[in-house]
Amino acid sequence: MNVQLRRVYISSAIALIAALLLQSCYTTRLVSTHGVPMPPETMEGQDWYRDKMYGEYTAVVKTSVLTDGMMIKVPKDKCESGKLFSVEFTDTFGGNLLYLVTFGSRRKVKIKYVCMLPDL
Amino acid sequence: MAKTSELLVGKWDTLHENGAFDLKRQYITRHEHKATMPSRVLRYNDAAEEIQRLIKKCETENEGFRAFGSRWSMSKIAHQKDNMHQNNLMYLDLEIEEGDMHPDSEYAHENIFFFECGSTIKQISQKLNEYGKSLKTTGASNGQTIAGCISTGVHGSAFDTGAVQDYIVGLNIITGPNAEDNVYLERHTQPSLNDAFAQSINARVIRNDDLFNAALVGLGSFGFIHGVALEADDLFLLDRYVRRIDKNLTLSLSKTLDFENSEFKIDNEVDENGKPNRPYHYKIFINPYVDEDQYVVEAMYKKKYTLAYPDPFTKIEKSLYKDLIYLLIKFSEKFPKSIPWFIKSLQKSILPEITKDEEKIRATLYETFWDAGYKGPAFACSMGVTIEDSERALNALVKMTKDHPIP
Repeated sequence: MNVQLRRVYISSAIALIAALLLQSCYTTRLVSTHGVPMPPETMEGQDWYRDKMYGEYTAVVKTSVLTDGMMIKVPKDKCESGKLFSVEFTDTFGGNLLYLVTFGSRRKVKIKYVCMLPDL
Repeated sequence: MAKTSELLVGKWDTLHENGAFDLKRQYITRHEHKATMPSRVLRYNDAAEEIQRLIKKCETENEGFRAFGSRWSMSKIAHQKDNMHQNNLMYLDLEIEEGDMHPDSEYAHENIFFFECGSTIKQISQKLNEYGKSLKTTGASNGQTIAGCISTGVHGSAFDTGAVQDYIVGLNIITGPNAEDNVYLERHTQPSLNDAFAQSINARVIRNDDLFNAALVGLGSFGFIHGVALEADDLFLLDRYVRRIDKNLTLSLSKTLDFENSEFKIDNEVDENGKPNRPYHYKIFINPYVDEDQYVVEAMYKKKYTLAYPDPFTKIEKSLYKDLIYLLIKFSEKFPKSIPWFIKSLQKSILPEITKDEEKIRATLYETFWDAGYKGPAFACSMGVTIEDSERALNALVKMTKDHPIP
């Protein structure tokens, strides 16, 4: 194996390991089987959301022994129809770490949602 | 009044990133809200006036104007450098009453529906399903707008049915800024809607087979397609099977389409004489990098609609890490000879699962060809060959792919 080829293999392997370690997260997406997602005005992303207009909610939530859940209302200006097409929850390594080191008093919440087109 | 947003975008791209192309302005028109203008016909006509205002503006500035839908064409065909109009927020449907039918129409009134240009295959299917109806076929996906489909000639996915434009029976086209430029066009030999309907949408009527056929796949050159009348089918179900069958049998079927006399037989899909039924849809999956004795085949058979059937949306879909895919692509760009190995390794993720008879999936057309989510940049080229030449064409493509692997 020549030197150049070996370098490429090694750099590819490092990039692969780094990509997996840095990501260390997965997403779960609940998607409606009916309804149509709101299209974006311009297409910029390079993922499932490329042809969808989406909203995001990211926050570190302080919890206590009295908290058993939370409710987030979708803002009207970001969801004309008021109907959700999809909701995505992302679980990250950093978020899990925060939960552990704060003994559950801080939780990282990352939600991405797509609304349906309004009825005309 | 309908309102139009004007975006100075600079660049415009397709869904599958086949650009980016230069563009001065992108327009998006939204209807007046139904709370303030309840009549659908009034809102439809109001939007037509707005489109004519935009056309007038472009004409005055001696600039081009072109409509686009969901940006699914994998080429520059939808692009225009001056002004482009995004249609996908114009998705009204107009009720067709029995009194709207042309006296000489041979279409059943209950099968004729009228949709605005930006209605997607998915929206149309949902609306038709409410009436116990279905599209006859689709391009095996549901994201394209109806005007985009017929303008670019989106293929069908069913035998003996034709393409999407083949079930269109009337077109409302805006050809310019003046009142007489709003046209309702249909075939003179097969009229569908009457003059009164055309008048209700402020359109003058042209009934001419040649003009209609030319305008159907007009690539946007005939004007702004504002609405279409289409003929639907009764709602039906599809029984879907995936089988691994002998390569020579799949290829011989491709050359003859003689399913009735073939050895490809699914126990539940035979006629009263025990002969195989002709499928609604037949597709072969081929990995061009390996020589296999068997190919994976997907076949669907049309059934009468019944309400009780298992939910077809029960499978949990998993996706590969995007970063991993990009890494593999970058790697294979440098080392094209690794592509066959990657494809072989990912074959299980790419090919549909083989089903036993009892594992067939029963679903409507809408459910069968559900959302095809964006999965990264893509390109495609297609060509038509006679079915007799399908094996020769495949051999030529396989040889080309093996000689020059495509990342």
